[in-house]
Amino acid sequence: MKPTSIIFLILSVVLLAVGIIICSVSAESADSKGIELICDEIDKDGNAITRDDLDAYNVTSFEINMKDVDINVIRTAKKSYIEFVNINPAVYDYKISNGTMELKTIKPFNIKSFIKLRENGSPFSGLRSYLYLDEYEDKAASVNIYITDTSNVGKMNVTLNNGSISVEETTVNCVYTLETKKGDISFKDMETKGKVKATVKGGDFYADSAYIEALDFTVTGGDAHLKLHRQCRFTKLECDTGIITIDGDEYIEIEKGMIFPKAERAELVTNSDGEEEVLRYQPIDVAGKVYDGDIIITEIPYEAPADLPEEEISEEDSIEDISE
Amino acid sequence: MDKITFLAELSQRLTKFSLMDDEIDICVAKVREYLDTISDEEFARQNPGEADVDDMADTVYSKYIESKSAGNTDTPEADAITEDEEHDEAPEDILEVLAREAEEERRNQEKAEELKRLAIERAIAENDEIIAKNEAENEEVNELRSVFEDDGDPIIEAVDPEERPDVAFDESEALNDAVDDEFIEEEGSDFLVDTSSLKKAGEKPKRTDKRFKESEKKEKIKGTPLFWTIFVLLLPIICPVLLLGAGVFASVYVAITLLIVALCGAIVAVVTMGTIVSLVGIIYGAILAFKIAPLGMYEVGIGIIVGSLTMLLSVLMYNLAIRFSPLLYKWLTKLLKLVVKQLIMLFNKAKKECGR
Repeated sequence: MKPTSIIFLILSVVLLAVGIIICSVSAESADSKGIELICDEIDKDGNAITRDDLDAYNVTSFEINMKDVDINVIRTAKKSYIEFVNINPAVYDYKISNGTMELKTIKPFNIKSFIKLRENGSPFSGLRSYLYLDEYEDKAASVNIYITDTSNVGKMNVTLNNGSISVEETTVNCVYTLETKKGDISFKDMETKGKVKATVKGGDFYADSAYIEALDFTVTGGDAHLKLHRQCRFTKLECDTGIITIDGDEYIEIEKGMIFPKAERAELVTNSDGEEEVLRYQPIDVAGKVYDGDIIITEIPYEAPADLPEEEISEEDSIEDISE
Repeated sequence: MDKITFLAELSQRLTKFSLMDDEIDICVAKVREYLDTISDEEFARQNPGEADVDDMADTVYSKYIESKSAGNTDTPEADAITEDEEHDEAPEDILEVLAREAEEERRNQEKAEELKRLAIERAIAENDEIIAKNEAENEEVNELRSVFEDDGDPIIEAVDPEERPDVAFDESEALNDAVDDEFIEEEGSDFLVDTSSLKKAGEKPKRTDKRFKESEKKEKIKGTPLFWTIFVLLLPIICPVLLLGAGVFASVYVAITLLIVALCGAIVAVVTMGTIVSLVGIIYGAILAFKIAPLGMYEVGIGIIVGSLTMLLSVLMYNLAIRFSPLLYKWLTKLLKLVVKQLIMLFNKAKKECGR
């Protein structure tokens, strides 16, 4: 080795030592001030959380394409925001343009995603996020989208390679198109006048007390569980190898247009004049197909209002019991 | 000191030399004759001392011995010549004569020493030149000799001198010839240099190696029909094996070349990416430091670390590509040469075995 090379080697070692010292001192300083290096805060369970406001961007639709995370859409009262839990900022990227938020998983060392020079979206997370790429490897990663009732979100397309999707208690009228290649999809205590299309592979589909105007689900390698508190009109319900169980009775086929439960669902509501009136719910249109799994449909106990007039159910709407 | 005392002292000094009494008297008489030509006042003014007496004794003795060896001491002509010579010198100061002689002697000595020194320097220079010229050749032949020493010379082993006097040769004779002192003395005799220094300088192996080469050239063996028949029959096996070996060497050469090219490419990539990332870290950190100081400084620190690692890696890869990889070429070439030599030896051995 020439003397020049030796000089540069010594210089590089010295610089390395200087860099390490600066990092150590800065980390100590950040720790003493309660500043986290690669997230906004650490919650009581030890989850690293990074947040961004959605109202500021006036988001109207979501296009989400991610790997190895769970997506939770949750109702909130105050303001809409998005929360990244146990996800390194270097492995995801989002940008907002024309009210559409595109969120995706990225390769951390992709040169295109390295420099993020744009107005709306996730900022450059710094070299420190690349230094701690494996920091949250053992923890469950999730993206929580908190939406208010007054939010303008009308469309949500989610595609996951591995992970579950859940929509809970939201009342915003949104069209959901959800797909996961390994995981569950669940709707619970939510309402939407939009259509819902759910595709599940290697997992189960749940609809629990959900009011969806039109539901279409496809499940492969799992079961579909429907807990109904509204009437359903089955347009198409198929099981490839399994069976359809409705309230304990087993069926192999459901006729198109059948309604279940039999009793009409209605409730008393108070209108703007302060008078009580009966609100009759229209049946939900349900279409579903399950491969290598079963469909289990149960009725949530319901008590009709006392003054609700009973309607006769025609024979066409009855279901054929295979046990008979 | 007067003249009488001077002569007495001189006589006494001359007794120390191995001269007979009558010879001393002759010498003293000659000096007395010389002194008679000088007045007493002049002699007293010169005031000769003990050293002058010694010098005079030495001079007289040497002159006497010279004249005696020439065989002219007893002849009147010789006496006349001596007298003439002494008369020639007589006007000069005796001390000046002595000093001039001593100076002359010193100059002669210096001249002789200078000549000797020049001769030594010339001999050493020429010796170094010979060593440098034959260094590579010696190395190769030493390798060859080690092979001979390890395995024995297959040619000599295989050939019976009585059966094949045209082929066989006496190795010990060749070696003895190679180390013959004549060579060494020839080299050194011109300059009167100690020949032991030349032996140490490694000229002897050079001569020996040359002899080895010459003897090798001489001992070429013609293959017997049996050998050539077997050789031709084995060609379908030998050719693929040789091609395979050549392919292995060629692929290693190509691999080394590719390694060098890949390292050069990697250097460019590492330097480019490292510089970009380092600058991004430092600039972003400096901007962030105004908002959140600890995080900004942390980014600057990472930028410095990335820069230093870039420098470290690029220097190491540069040295690997430019300094170390060519050595691999050299070593591989040496290995290739060795393999080729071994194959040739195997070929020759097979020839001789078939010739038995």
